[in-house]
Amino acid sequence: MTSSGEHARPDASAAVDAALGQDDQSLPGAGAEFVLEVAEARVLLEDFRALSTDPSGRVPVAMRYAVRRRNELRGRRGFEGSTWVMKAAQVAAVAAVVLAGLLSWQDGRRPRAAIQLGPLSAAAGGLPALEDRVSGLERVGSAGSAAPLGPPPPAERRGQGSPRGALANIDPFTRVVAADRDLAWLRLEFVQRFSRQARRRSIELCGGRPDLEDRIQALAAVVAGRLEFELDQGTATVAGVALGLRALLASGSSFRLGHRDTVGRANEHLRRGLNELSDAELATALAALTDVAVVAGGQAADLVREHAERLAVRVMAPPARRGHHGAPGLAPSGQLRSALLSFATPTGSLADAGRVFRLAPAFGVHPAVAERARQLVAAHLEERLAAQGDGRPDLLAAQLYGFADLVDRRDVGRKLRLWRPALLARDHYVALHHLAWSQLPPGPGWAKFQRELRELATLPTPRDLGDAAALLLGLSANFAAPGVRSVLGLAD
Amino acid sequence: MGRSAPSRSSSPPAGGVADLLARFRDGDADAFRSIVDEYQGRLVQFFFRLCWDRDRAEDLAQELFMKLLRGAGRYQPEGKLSTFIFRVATNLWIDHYRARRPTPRLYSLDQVRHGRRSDAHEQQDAEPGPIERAIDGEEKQRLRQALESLTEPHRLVFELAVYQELRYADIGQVLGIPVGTVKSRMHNSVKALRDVMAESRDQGEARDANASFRRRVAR
Repeated sequence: MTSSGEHARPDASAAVDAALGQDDQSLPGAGAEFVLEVAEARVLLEDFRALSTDPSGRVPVAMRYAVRRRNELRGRRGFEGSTWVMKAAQVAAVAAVVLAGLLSWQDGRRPRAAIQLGPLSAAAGGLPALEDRVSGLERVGSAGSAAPLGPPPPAERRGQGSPRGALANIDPFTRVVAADRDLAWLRLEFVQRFSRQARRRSIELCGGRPDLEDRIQALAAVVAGRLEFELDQGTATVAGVALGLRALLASGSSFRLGHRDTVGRANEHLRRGLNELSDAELATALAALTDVAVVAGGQAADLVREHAERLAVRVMAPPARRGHHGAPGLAPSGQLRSALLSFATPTGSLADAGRVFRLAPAFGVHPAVAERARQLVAAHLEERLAAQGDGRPDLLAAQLYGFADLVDRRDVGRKLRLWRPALLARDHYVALHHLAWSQLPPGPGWAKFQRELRELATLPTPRDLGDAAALLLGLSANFAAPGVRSVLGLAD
Repeated sequence: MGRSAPSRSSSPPAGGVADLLARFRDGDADAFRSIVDEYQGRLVQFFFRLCWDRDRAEDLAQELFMKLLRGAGRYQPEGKLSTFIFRVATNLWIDHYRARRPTPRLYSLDQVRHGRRSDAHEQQDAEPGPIERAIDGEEKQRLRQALESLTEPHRLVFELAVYQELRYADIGQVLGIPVGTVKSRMHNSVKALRDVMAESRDQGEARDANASFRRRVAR
């Protein structure tokens, strides 16, 4: 029978209604046959009611988080618009930022200004693809020697909804606020990570088994051991040390389980060599030092500010080389591009740069400088995707990790749909880490992703320090499940 | 009559609960928590029985709550909140279902059961894995397959009437169809399910008889 050509008998229909409680009048005084029919219908419906599932409890957690975020936004809007004094202060702050931008722009026009912000046209002179992506989207300042800083773009260029539209939208004031907010959240997450009880509770709230924590701490011990060994042997790479340091902090084991010395040693190792690092290594090292600064603040924050600014300036204006004709500061045709934006740079470094530049304004780096550098890196990632195929999971995950606000999350998510955590864990541990740290709970697929991520706890520990640390970072994403903060009251 | 339906939606909940979304719109953040607490279980089950995937069901429930959260500012109470929420849920499911369907639907609105079995299994993710099969047991499998054999319009009516215990009139509002259509879909669904269960039992018995015959021959 494939269609409803034949209809149910009237008695049977009334019995169904009665069994459902839709019709309470037909049963009293009904004949035995009808009562039996109702009973039969009720049994059938009860059988079907057995089909159900056990909710993981994740939905209310995620929604509490979403409501909190919404209330924050509401609160901020209310605060901003509360009094004319606040409005005046806001206008003054924006005016100050714009003025600073204009002054810097004037500086940028002079050779060898205090901050070496080379003109964008020079930075991208030999790179039409990159220039198309950036300067075509946003021309700050006047034509000719387009300056990297300046007033916000005209209103008609804003909010076009596409990544390009997003690139055109620099608002230094907003960037500072966003960076401050991100930093505050990160700090709270670290506070949570350092509590064993909170970690276990987070895992449970995400639907995981509490013994996942044991596996994570065992993995942290392995990472700490290898990190120590490689530092002793002098074989440690910047990427390995940086990932190891970040993983130990993320796993929360750095203070309570005796890995504090290892963390301190790795931190010192990275700090000491900062001035000698290549741009790619510097980005990776700074990502780790940023985590340290989030936790420690103080001098660590100053260090991040100094070197993040240096890196941002280098990204925008690569070190001037003597041109063919001997003119200092002129680019030989087709040559100048920041080393970070070269195709040889590991994808992980690009993602790290995105994260560092996003947080940098919170450490005192000029927001427009940080944002412009971040946009250049984002544009380079797009360039790579165009050149190397837009299905590469490492590039897509890097986009989500460092530049989620500049790309169409839904589109990137669609391209990544087939890359489940178990597949990434084979060759792309760093991409796994990036993906795990860029998921937001109210998004489609989040619940499934978290479950699959937890299943990776059964994998053997990768041999390479960087891979093991990236796996640890991925598994530790469960500790900072958004929403857990509000449940535990840490954010209150 | 008969079954105890603790939260039948026909009667408006007391204490202004029906206006929870309006209260949230007006700035009461706790009101949204109450909505989540009250509806999350029902919605997860609702979506689960449509897609047979708990994770996806939870994602859809989250998406629905996010829609409510974002759209709360424009919310104008008209009727019961449960009716409103299930209307949004139904639309969300239909959008989701259509987005995932590789082919347009090929059944008429009057059709109760899918013509081909494969139609009921178009969504590859909905297929239960071996572990789920083992856990579910044969009877649940049969029930599940019977439910899957219903066409989408009938399945939605069945879900809303049997599991969510909405009145026919409310279901009509949720789905935007007359009450008479709701009734006929419900009755035809029950009849179709009875038929499928009977067919399935017959097949099971025939299989058992066949297996027992083979065992005897083998001996």
